[in-house]
Amino acid sequence: MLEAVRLSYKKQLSISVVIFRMTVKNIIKTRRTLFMFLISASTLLVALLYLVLRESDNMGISGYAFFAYIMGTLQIRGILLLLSVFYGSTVFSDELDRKTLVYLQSRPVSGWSLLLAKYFSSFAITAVLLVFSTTAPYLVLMAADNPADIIKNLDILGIDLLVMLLGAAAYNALMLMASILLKKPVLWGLTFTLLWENTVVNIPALINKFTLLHWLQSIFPHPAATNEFLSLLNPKPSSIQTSITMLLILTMIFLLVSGFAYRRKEFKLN
Amino acid sequence: MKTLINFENVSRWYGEVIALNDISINIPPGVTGLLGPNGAGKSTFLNLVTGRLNPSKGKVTVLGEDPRNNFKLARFYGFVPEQDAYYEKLSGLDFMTYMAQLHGFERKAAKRASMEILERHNLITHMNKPVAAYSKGMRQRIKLAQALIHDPEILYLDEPMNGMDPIGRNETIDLVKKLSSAGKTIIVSSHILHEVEAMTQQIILMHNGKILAEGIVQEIRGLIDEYPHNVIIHTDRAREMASQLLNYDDVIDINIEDKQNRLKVQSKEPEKFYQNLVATIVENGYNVTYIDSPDDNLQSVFKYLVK
Amino acid sequence: MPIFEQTYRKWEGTLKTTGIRWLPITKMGIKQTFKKKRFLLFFIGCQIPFLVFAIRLIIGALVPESIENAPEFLKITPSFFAHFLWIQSSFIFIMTIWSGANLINGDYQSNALQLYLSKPLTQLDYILGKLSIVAFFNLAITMVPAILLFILHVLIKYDKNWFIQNLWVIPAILGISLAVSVIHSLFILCLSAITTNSRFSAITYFIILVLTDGVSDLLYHLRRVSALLTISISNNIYSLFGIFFGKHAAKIPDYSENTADPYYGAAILIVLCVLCYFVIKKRVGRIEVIQ
Repeated sequence: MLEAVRLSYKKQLSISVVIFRMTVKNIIKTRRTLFMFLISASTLLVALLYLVLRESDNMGISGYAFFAYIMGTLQIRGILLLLSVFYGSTVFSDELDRKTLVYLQSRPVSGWSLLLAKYFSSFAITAVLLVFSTTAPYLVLMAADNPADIIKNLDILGIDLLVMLLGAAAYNALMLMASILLKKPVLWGLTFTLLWENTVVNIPALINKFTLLHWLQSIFPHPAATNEFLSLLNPKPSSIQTSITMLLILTMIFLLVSGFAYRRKEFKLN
Repeated sequence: MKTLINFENVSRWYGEVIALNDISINIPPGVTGLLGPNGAGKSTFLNLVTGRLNPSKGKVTVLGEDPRNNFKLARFYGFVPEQDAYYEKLSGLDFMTYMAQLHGFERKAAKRASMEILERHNLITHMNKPVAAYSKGMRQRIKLAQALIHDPEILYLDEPMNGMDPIGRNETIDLVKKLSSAGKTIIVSSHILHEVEAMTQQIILMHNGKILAEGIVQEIRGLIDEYPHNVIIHTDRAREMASQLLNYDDVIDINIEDKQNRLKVQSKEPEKFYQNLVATIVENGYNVTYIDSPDDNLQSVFKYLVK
Repeated sequence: MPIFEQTYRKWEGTLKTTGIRWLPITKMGIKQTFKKKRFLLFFIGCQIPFLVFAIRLIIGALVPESIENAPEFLKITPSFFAHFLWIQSSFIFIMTIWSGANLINGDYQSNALQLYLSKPLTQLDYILGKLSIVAFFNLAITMVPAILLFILHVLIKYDKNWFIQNLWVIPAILGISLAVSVIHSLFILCLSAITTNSRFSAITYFIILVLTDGVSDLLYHLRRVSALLTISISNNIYSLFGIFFGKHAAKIPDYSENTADPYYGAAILIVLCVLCYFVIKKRVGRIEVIQ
């Protein structure tokens, strides 16, 4: 009887798309996403403040330099991490908190389809917000110096967006894995990203390669912001090709571990 | 008899707590009531058949397959969880459509099927309201609806009538009976005995992770020797009948209530007693207005076995 | 010998109310939080700086004062205690999230709020009860070990002049610890009251702290105006060290660079606390109608 049921890959894919759409719809409808949008708009706010302050005083910092500074501090070490930690952990943990995971598990949906749908929904939302928070200040700050710079520096924007997308992919996968394996994924995620990532990335030699931020910063076209003491340690970046490859490999590893952990773990309703 | 669900020496523990203790059982088609007090192991039983838990020992099969990590089996069963679980922002229709789509329905077919089933469960007028705004009974009905939308062969109902009003309960009981006569296999887990009794006579009685009894209620009752069977008989010639009944060796005790024209008889062999009683009534022409066995029911079975 | 009926018996004692009605909420909250093993480990881990500073104190006590070139860090001055509290303030972030993110929204989810408010408790009692849970843990890693260090120093190296000159350090420790603890506690409680999900309150807490810090840093980088540092909530909190420890605060590493004017900072924090309190008061006891 069961052999006759052929749940084809195409069917599983269409079910994944259904889960993806529903997850995105549920997330977008919440006030939390409005709040996260405002968070990602903070780079634009700072860029606009730059324009206002610049008018009143002829400052030496160019729009491009300030954009680089925003990207190196607020964006890559703040907004990218916080959005990824939040959405990466929310998509799965919400199903556990609401106890609606039982509905997904009592349907002919494979664990992989479910997890990949959840992963791509969190990645999609994070990516959209990051694209906005990278592009908006870019347009404002490039135009502040010379509107032609918008086109001239498009390659820089492209690389920034690539870094953000790779970062979103890796961190979201990591947080999905954490939300399956751990009880308080947000706490661990914040501790890992804000403490481990921001500290260990500055240590030279092999140890800084145990951070995702190292690989991202190796591709990043702007100098990473750090304090005077840590800058003395001067860790060397890796090559761009190696960094992109490592990020993709790590993303795959996190997703694979998520899948296997999901299969092994027992989600008992209380 | 065809076995759909089989437990073979299944045990399950959580740390030092044994939730199920060496259970071996075959569940046939039809309605089976899974009964027991809180903590008996009913939810663990259902978690095992739906594959959400792995047995610590032993083997569970559903339709000949291991249910653990077997998403294909989900095509054949529907599950009504005990917990109040819902997506707050979704309307009843959106929720049902989503559930149907997860079974592989195309969007339009899913919407059509959802509206039909919402109508059958008297939720059609509320279909555009968020599920969070539903009353407890309505949420219970929508949980049942989502389990039935794909017309499954097997239905697992975990406390399906929690929070329902009497009309809702009766409707659910009728629905279960209807589904059973349509050939579905249904396992109803509950601690509300009279409701289960209204749906089925086939029960599994659990306590402390063990199966205390399994089978038809009356058969189980008949086997409980240490508690004699009580029968109440209303007749105008109570004393006379009592003296006749005392001649039978299965009758242990008779209590006569003259004012109420009532006899309370205790018998250790109920089958034999009923035969003798009929013969006595017919031979002597007694006018019997009422016969009842107050403990020939699940409540008493439960009480005697769980004590 | 009396034989008692095995049925429900009415309690014949008298109902007593303690002066602090909300104390049971606090006690239960602390007990429940300590039951979590990982939290207990984290709590013990937060005391490691106390051990490090205690060792420094003991070594300092062993070094005779007659030695001219004794290292500066072995001298126990008020900045020693300020530095300890400065370091412990960074643990307060995680401690606050762990102990406080779920306090009010957990009650929403389990409908326990109705139970609380159906007891002879006012909204203020409920808020104080919850606030004191987070404040307890924050004070346990700041005030308590700092006071212990002070007592330890006095016990190891009793110097009457030193003790009299530095007696003001005790109220300074109490003041800064209470201020930092209450600010963080009120803030996380406010977020817990606004959201229905502890994950969201945890991450919002972090986002607001990190983001205000980042924006303040960026703008300060642009225009070196110290008023821009008051945008950062963390900066304002750190600036309070200037109020309680005065000139000794300047000896804390990173102090003068990171901190804004302490009085402006204090004013902003007071406004924030008042706002948080009113938000919590409004949210607790509200009725939500879903249509």
